[in-house]
Amino acid sequence: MASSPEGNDLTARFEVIRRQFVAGLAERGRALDEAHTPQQLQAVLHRLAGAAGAFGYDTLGSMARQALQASEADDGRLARLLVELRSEMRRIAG
Amino acid sequence: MNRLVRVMCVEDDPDIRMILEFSLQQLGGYEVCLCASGYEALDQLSQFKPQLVLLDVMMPGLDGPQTLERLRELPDLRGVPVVFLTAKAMTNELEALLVHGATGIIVKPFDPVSLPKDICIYWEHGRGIQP
Repeated sequence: MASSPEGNDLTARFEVIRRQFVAGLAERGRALDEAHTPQQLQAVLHRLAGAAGAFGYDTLGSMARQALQASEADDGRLARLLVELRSEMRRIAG
Repeated sequence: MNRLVRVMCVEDDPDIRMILEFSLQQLGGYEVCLCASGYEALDQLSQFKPQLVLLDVMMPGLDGPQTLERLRELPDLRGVPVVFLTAKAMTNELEALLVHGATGIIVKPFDPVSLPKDICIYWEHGRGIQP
């Protein structure tokens, strides 16, 4: 975004919502941990995959998408992908 | 009206709602109505009278396709393009969505900077197409 006064304002506003997204990662992480069924897990992963990239967290989004695909395919990679995903979430949230 | 002004967004994730508002209202200059569920959309439609609806596919309760089916029963949706928002990107799944009669699909994550222009293109192409 441009560094005009309006541009700075928009950047600042985007920063506010980006920080809200990061602050929300703790709750998303809990939702992942507490998902009892594949459908619940997939719902959380789907939302995370959709949101992360829009805020610029491409790696996180890609990891969520891979975990989502692994869950839908019921293949053995899911556990490892979830561990890596949670690790990335904690890294971003600080 | 010859210009896209009023956009309704139906999305259950609050972070994505925030970024939709940022993208469409603050960057794009549109008037935006944010709905957290299909039920809210049904409730708000005749009051807000959107010119385009962005509809999330995967929502708890009433999902995107179910919401579209119900929205179609309302006269205020006549001629209004509906664009699905989905995190799924596999071709066959996208094609299956279009069967429901949406004008188009936008895959999440979307780029908040280009979204205002992308939906304008859907609006220009989708006007006059009966839902």
